[in-house]
Amino acid sequence: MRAVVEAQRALKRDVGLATQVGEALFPPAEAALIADVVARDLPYYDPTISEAAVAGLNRFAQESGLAQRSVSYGQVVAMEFRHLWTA
Amino acid sequence: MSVARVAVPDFVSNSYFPAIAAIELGFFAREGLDVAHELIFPNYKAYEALRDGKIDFVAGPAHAVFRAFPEWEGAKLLAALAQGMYWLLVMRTDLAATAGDVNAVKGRTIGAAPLVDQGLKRLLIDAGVDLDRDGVRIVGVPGASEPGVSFGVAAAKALEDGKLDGFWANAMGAENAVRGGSGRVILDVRRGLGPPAAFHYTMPVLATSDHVIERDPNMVARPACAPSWRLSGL
Repeated sequence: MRAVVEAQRALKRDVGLATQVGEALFPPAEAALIADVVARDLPYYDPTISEAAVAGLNRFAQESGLAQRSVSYGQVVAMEFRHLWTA
Repeated sequence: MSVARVAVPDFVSNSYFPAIAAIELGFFAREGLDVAHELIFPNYKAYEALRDGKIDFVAGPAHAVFRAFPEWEGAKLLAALAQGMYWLLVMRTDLAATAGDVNAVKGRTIGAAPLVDQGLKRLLIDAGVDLDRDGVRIVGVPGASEPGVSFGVAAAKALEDGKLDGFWANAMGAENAVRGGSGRVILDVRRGLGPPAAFHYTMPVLATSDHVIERDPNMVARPACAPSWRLSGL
């Protein structure tokens, strides 16, 4: 889990790393695009799962017929690892 | 080194990119994890694989957890890969559609992935569009379920080929369509195009199961005292 948080931070510091990843894994056309696309996502690279996000998820799931009832924040999120979002 | 498996429902994409980058840039390896990724489409099948013990983590949309883990029994979110709903509505450039106008979908055929389509449907309903009355057809994308195919790229190709009037997919697909001249971004709630409430419908997450956490908590998050990899250059 730390690995994903560190990857978000690394991409924020140097979005050129996205090209490095893309060139290793994607077809050439998409590898050439990925850094520009990721650059627009960087403001949203935050590992936090907020109470508001879970409330929105609950509302959406019930209105879409995916869930019958709301689930608590503690049931959705692995509480014991939350500190790693900011570690 | 421990071995772990991460499923992603769309690979050639920005949607779950932090997870893919964490593998390729060696961040998992620095945690003592040998991680392999596996493309499992559509998203709910990735969560079914997690439920069935075939993989250890999913990098996918949060709301799809409900399909494999009814009433969210047995799954946990570990982290957001990014904030907010992350799909965009792209319509053909030859249609009279302006950015932010949800009415652009009326009488049109829109391609979307299973369960991803729920985000578009709810957004349109919340914005006052009646899918039946207004003749909105939300369908699958031709060729998107072929092995190894990226959904967004397939959607952009289908738009270019005239098989769809629009698609609801990731920003990589949107970028392909926009740069190729076949599509125009109409809705993107992260950037203010669409109802603000839709931002919190879902988000890209790293998820695992209660079983994995119980079985191997150190695989989920190695204790901080173990390696000193965070002192490295990246």
